[in-house]
Amino acid sequence: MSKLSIIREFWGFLKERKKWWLGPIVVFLLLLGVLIIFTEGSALAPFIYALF
Amino acid sequence: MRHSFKLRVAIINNIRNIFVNLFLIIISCVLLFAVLEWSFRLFNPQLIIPRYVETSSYGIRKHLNNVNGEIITPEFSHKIATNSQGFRGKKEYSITKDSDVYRIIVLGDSVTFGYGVEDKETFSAILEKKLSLVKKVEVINMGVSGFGTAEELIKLRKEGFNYNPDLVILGYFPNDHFNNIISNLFKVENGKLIRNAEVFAPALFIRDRLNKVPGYTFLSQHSHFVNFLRNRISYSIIRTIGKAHKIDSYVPVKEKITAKENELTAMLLNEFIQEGYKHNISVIILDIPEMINKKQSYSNLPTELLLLNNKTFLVDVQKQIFESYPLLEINYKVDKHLRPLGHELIGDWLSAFVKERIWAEKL
Repeated sequence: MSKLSIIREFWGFLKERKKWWLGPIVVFLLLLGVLIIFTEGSALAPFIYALF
Repeated sequence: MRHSFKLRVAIINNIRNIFVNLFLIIISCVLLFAVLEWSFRLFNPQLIIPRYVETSSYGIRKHLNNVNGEIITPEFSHKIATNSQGFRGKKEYSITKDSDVYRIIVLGDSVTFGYGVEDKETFSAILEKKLSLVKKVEVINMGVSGFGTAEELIKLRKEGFNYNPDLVILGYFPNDHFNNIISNLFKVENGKLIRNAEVFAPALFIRDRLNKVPGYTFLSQHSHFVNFLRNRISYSIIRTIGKAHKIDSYVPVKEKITAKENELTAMLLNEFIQEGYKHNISVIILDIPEMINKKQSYSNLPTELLLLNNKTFLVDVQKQIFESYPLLEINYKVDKHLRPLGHELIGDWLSAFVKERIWAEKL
């Protein structure tokens, strides 16, 4: 089974059931996951501040 | 006729479906945000420390003018204000100084600026209040969080001297070493201090763009989820800059300081001392310690490399001011910035020192 099959399956589900509103939630959660993975161990330490 | 009626109904149904979906998308995004916000508040409350900074005309950060904000952390929350020049507090200072006024400017980072205390509780404000009992005194708090000695030196030259100070106080903090390297504003070449980058205002272009997004300012001051994203991305950027200079993120361990870091910081401090000498102004360097744990504090001022003169006063804040107080009474346990007591002790000590040493010598 291809690793991308879940995405294809989810796309098929959205099309079939016309539940497009689920799309942004999933995309947002995916982006959040990617951010957490790429900034791993980057919890703000004392005396290091947010830049913006 | 019947065909066109069916077509019209189909179009109307399609448009209705689009609107229903759009509405559901908006509702689902709002609900998702609410769930995430609630989860962070409950399980992982974030530091909410808004950054009221912008790029100054001379290429480094400065505080925004006329800020009326709030800092919220699990340990403390307090109001934060800046005047029309971006200095801490609401009191205004004219650039031209009256002849009967004794003016002190204070440079430093967030500790000097006064994270963790109200406007009136910073050691600058206490110093002004105490000395004003004797004569007309103005103490201008020019501290900017995240500054290192490099930025403090530039601020002194480009802005501080415009205010014609009689005394300069520099709040040195152990992470200045790290900030001096990552800012890349100065470098040491063949034993000489050379101005390097003209600008250091990391990620401010992101802030400027985000602030144009309606509601972002409000969310950055209130939302734990937005602050989680902000803090994570910021620290990631800082780490990347650090790696580019082949140093890890800041850690309070003396052995981790490279000879290059030590040399750069010492030369910047010596330049600061020289500036005071050239302008015939006394300079007080406060060596402010960082609390490591409740029994241990840390300092890394490169004292042995400093070229002191009779206009410079070096103050070991831990030994000379904090010695008899438990560290947890002076510093916040997790955040580690100075509590109001820490500022009060420094303000009181400085007030006595200025009166007994600096003013007395001038008589």
